Amino acid sequence: MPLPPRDFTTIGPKLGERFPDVRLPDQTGQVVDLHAARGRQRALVVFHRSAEW
Amino acid sequence: MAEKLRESGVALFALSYDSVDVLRIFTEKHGITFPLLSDGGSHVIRQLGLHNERVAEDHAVYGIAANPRHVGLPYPGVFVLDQDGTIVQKRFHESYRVRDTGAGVIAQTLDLLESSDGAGAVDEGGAVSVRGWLDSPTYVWFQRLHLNVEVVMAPGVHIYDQPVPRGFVPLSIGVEPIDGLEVGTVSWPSPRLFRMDGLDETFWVHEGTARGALPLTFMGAPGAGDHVIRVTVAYQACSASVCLVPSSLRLELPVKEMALVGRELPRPTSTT
Repeated sequence: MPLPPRDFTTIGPKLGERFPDVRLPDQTGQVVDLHAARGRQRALVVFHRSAEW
Repeated sequence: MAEKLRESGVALFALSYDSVDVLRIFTEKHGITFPLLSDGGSHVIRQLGLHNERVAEDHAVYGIAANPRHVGLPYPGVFVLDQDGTIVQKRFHESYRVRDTGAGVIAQTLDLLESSDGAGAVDEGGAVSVRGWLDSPTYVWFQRLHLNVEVVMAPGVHIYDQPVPRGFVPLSIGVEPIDGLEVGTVSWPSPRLFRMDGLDETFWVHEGTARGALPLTFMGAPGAGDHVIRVTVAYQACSASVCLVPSSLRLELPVKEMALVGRELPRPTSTT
């Protein structure tokens, strides 16, 4: 029997909130400020497991 | 896919705990055209509350051995932001598979993307209808796509999931084997417990609309060509008082091979 499913409404940033500021290096080593890079566009932010696997 | 998003004016970002070097190699290998953010040490993942602390426990249920790579893993999923940066959609799912790619997660959960032309079929009597579609009408070598299957049950009708009462047929998806195609395990939404009238037993069932995703990984050498994915969805439909005979519906979904960005497909040098 599978484990009881988690409630993702409570995990992580919530619907209706502004997505938090994220500043991380990208694959070129350049630091990217997510909201600044996005500008006024809509965006998808994907969390995934390793690219290496 | 990234190009389609760019054309629609949607920026795409992916985030993982991989180092910049690992991401650079991945970018070169796959011709990635959008930012892959390096959250070494999973600090942002933790800060956002997306750290999956139960990975080892979850994986043990599925017989996957604990692995140092599992430390710092996030829940895989997608946030959709509007022009102001507000979260307007959030799609996360339980995932016990260790190789869910970013592209698969996006494609599985968004209406922004055009999916390939799907295929559909309806049970005689209309108790159940099935619709299937792939994340994309094309694939590249080593890509993981999902075969998405939507099962729609008429009101009052349910179908069984595992564990199934003796003599009954549970919901399952079969894919006709194709050389080089690796077929993963389907993930369905959680079934609910159902009690049959007059019986003191409960069963796990699906009702209404159930959408499942089956990962397909194209592992054959480049040049494998176009395919038709032949799918059989098997199930047994019951109402509160009576069960129909076990049934299945077949779908055929074409998929074409594309070259990786900046490369050509190899030309066959001989007929094999």
